[in-house]
Amino acid sequence: MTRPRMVLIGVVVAAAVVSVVAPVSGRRVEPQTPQAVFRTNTDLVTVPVFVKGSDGKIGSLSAQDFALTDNGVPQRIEMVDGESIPADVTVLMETGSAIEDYRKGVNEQVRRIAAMMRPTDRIEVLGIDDYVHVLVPFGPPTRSLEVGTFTGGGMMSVNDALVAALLREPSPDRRHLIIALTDTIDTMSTATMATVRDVARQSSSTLVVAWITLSQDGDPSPGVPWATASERLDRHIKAPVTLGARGLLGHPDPARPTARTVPARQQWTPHYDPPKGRRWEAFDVLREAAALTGGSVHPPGVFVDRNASTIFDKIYAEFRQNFILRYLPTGVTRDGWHDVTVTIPRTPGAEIRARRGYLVESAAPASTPTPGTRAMTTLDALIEAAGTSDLPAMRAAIATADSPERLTTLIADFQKAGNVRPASPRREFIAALMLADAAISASSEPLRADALGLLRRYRALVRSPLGPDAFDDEWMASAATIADAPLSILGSDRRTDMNRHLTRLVELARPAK
Amino acid sequence: MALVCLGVAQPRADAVSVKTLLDRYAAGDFSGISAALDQTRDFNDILKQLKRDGPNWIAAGGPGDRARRELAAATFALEAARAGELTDWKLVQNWMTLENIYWHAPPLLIEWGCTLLLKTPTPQPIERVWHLAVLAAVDRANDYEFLIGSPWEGRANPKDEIKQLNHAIARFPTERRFALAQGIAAEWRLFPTTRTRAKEAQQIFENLKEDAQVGGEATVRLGFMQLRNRHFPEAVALFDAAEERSREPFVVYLARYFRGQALERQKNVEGAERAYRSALAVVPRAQSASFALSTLLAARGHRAEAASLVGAALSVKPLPMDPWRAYGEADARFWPELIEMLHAEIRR
Repeated sequence: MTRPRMVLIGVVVAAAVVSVVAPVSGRRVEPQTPQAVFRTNTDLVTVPVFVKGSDGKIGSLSAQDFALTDNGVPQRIEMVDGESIPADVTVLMETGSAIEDYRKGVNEQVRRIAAMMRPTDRIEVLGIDDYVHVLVPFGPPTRSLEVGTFTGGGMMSVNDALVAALLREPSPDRRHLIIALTDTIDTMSTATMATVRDVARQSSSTLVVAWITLSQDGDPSPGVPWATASERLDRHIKAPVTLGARGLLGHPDPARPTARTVPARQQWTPHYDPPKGRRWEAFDVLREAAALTGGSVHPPGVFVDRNASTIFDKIYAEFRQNFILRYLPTGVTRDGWHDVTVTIPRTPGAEIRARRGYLVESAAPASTPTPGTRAMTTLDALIEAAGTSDLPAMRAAIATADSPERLTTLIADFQKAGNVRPASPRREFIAALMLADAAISASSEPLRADALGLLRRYRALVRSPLGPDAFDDEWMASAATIADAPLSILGSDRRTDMNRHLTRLVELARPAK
Repeated sequence: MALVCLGVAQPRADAVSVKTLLDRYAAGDFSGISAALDQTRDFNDILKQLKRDGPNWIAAGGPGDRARRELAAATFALEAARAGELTDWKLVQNWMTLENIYWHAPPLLIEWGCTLLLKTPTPQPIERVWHLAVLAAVDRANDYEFLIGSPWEGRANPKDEIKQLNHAIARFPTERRFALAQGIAAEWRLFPTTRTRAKEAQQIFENLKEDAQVGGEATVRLGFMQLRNRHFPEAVALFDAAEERSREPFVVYLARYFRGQALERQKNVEGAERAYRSALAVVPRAQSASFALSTLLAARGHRAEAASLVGAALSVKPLPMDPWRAYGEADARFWPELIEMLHAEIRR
């Protein structure tokens, strides 16, 4: 369910640190089922604006100096004191094993960052490695901040982390600043850079990427200021042998490894093949993403100091200098995408770089599948009971198939449904056994064939990936008890055997603690 | 040619007696030894001591305890190798006209343990578990060349290769996980060369896709190769088939998650959404499907659900193992189970 929200967008006119702002495509992303439901006065739109004139300076500005349109319709705006609006700050930091040297100081850096913030602000720290981790959850900067220990993997899910931060719903009464301290070299994310851009286009947050170069090499190839670990590996493999790497008489000198020596740190293999020839231009899409939020990408060299708190200080200071415009949209449909333009008519030479709009979510529910209203079937009841390995309930469900035809249908439906408990398949295996047992007990030749077919099918699935274990053995023994039972001696002994098997299987299917 | 261990020299702040560590290990102090190994920086020293003192330590238990002590020593060496994986595994050196591989301590520790177990004429079932655990450790370190050798013809000297999987397969020729591991290594060792033409790996996966034990995983990996090559309909068919062949959550999750990716690239957004949701039914809150689904939802205007999915995926403690994140590490997912089996055998 959606909730009313005040939309907060950032429109930033550039500081001089970024060289190029990529053009923004005019593509709109709109909900598929928009509904024109205009909700409460919390639909006030707040637009942070950072202004820099053509001469590098800007005088004092008032609301009357700005012109703002929402979907082409001029709006009446007011200006709010930027200092009165607290900020939520998300700091993204790499925590993978490639940054051993600077992760040791993470706690100190986080504390320094927090000390620069206002008491009314909030800070969270997300770590990036194979996974995205919440290192410090959102909270006031005045609390005791301790990132604690973390064991980063060797890969980087940078795009996923950027998407995660951009999709965080900022509090309606706050601005959200995301500062990503990363070399942006992604090796295993779900999201591509284009996805980051698409999410950024709709985000209410301001994204600033502070590019820190993590290369361990002191000798990057000309024109390539940074490289992934794997690219460094590639370079080492292909590099020519150099005489300087050899000791006297051409023997290897352990203290001076050859140019073709694999780098000293373990290299992980990225999940994706990287683009050929990584260049600054390869990151145009990311720069566009940041620009769409009113933020920017600071290339390597701008922040020569890798010190995270120094970088934060510069970005946060810029962020706080924003002018804050506010308006209640009039003359436009509430839901859907809104194009926003901000200009300063009396200063046409001002460089303007800003996010281009905001999205107001439709009041229509998300596309989450909703449970149907149909009556629970025998199969549903069996699957539900299987979910808790509730043997009596499973028996009861199967018993409702009270004729050979119904039992045949139930077995067919069960097989067709397939993988009914994907997170805990052993529960499905137990249900299959019980169905086969019921079919054998029905003393019907076609049902006996169904039962044997079911057992054959599951015999192939039940095997543990490491080879037979106690559950597999018990299941096979149960299947044998069912399959070997002659129709004429379906007596209490077999029933007792089956009960014992099933009880044991339920115990073995329990997840290990 | 003798293998020379050149190891990155580390100061020896942690002089330990391996015999003492082995005593504790064989007595069942596995967590204590694991903690000690985590603090170790000089794995060359561990290797040196094992080679020097290991045989006497094994013999000291008498003939009745020999097999157990050999397993304990080999497993200790394996745990040390795994603890030392962050140090580089190998060094390639040029010397005269030959190019030689100098292996570092972690793989040599495994080799030492392997040699110990190979002395037993008839392989015991627990040795299969040990080799599977080696696979788990090496896959985590991404050292596919240690398993099957180097694809860089001009770089490697064949005499210096270890090819650990050959040892395992010679002892357990019917274990299909070793065959599957050859395919995985054949695909991944190609990096940084593009992996879109991994014919050797493709052939291995094709051969295994109907196998009762590993067919599901072979099929999903074959499907991912098709996905890499942008053969989307073929990839989807393989992901569907994978789920018919396996119920292992790791495999089923990947089949559904990759299916979503293939459908998304075919612009079938609804199908992709269903696929991602079904993947999350296998591993709830897994980050890869959570993020993939949330970006789809956000693009369709459902930001609240997208934010909720991301929030849930980030807040869950502990983070569930995400099969996509673990895809390249392959058998590393079995390490906890395998090491527990080895520990149980050593405790006997």
